Amino acid sequence: MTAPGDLLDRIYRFRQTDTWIFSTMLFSACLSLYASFVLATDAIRLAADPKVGLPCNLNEVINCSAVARSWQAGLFGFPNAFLGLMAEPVVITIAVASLAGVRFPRGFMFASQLVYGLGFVFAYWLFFESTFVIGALCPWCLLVTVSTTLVFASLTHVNLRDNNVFLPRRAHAVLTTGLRLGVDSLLVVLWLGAITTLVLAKYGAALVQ
Amino acid sequence: MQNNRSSSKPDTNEQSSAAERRGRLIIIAVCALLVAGVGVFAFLQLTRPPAVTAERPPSNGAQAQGDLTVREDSRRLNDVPDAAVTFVEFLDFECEACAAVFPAIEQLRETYGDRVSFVIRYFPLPSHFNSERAARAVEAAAQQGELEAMYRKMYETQTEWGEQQLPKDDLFRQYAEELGLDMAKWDAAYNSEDTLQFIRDDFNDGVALGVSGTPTFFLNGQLIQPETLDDLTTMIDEALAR
Repeated sequence: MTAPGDLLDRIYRFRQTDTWIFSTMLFSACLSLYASFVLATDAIRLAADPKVGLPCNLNEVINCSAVARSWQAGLFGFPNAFLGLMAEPVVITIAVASLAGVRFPRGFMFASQLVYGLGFVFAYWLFFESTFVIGALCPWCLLVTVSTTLVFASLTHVNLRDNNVFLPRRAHAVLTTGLRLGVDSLLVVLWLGAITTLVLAKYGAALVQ
Repeated sequence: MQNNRSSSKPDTNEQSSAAERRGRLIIIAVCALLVAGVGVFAFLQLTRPPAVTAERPPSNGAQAQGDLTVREDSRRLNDVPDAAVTFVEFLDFECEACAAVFPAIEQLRETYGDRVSFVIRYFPLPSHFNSERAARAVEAAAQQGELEAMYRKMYETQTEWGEQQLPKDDLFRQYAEELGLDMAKWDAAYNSEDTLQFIRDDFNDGVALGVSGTPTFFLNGQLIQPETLDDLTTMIDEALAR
């Protein structure tokens, strides 16, 4: 009963449970909320005194002041971090309620998927602007990028598992097989590996100078 | 192996087939390889000496060895051979504070231009959309001996192009024409990789010196933080008297 195959089976079954999916969602959303909070506070400090030194300015590349002063940092006329302060508590509520046994209607989960998808796209637009246009990175923004990816992955996972995205049966069956094999984890690793590679290729040793 | 008992959640309670297990192991292996690959790449990238190694020789003469504030080929508004005092400004042509001190610097140059070397170092802040272009425009002019004219032009016209999110290449080219520069040479220099590298080298020296904003001044290699023009003249007088 305790063969390694059984253990692996148990892990993979656990991966499909609400407990695992919503716990990781809760954890990632808390990280994202915390990072948004720091970014929002820094934005206010910079507005009060544009010359204030922020502890996240490590060198030319890791420089959150340069990022915060860019026009991209306030695309909608206020610091982007305010969006995180508004959106992440909703995700936290969904995760906590689901852990407590609440089942949200399919339409509700479908809508969350779409809205969070927009946030995901925005996070990556900011990441690419920061990396390739502004030419500086800010640690808290990178934490938002990563945690947004993890929240998006867990939300997508649960919505594919329960078919809250209204897929035809056949397509859902194929995707369920993918989830059972752990293809979703592979995609997350591939994705995070790719953005890490991009940053390293672009900046290299300048990151640690 | 296959467990056929029916369940409300067949997906999560079924025993996995051998094929499924194999698939999982392959995916785990691929993930491990990816992580290892990124790790190796990270190690190589982070330990590789930066491409921007300083080919430019460090300064000598009046300056201490290894002083990054002035290099042999740094741009000089006033070049006094064997000057006892060297005044260095890290500047950004799009920075309002730099434009604000520009008249004071002009006055200083008038007073001390025969005794003090005035050096400028490019420090185009990434947050200013056109600052690097402006630096390239000035450096391109400097390469045909017209540093001062373009330097003045940038500050005098800053309000016309500063703080905008549109590329101002055409406007800067027009300035070069107005100054009567050799446009073929200017165009080539404006777009050349060497010009950009020169500016980046200046910028990197500034970062290494702890410069984080503009204008930042150094007097004989020492960071100074004058509040007024009087502070500056006092500091220069003291340095000259030494």
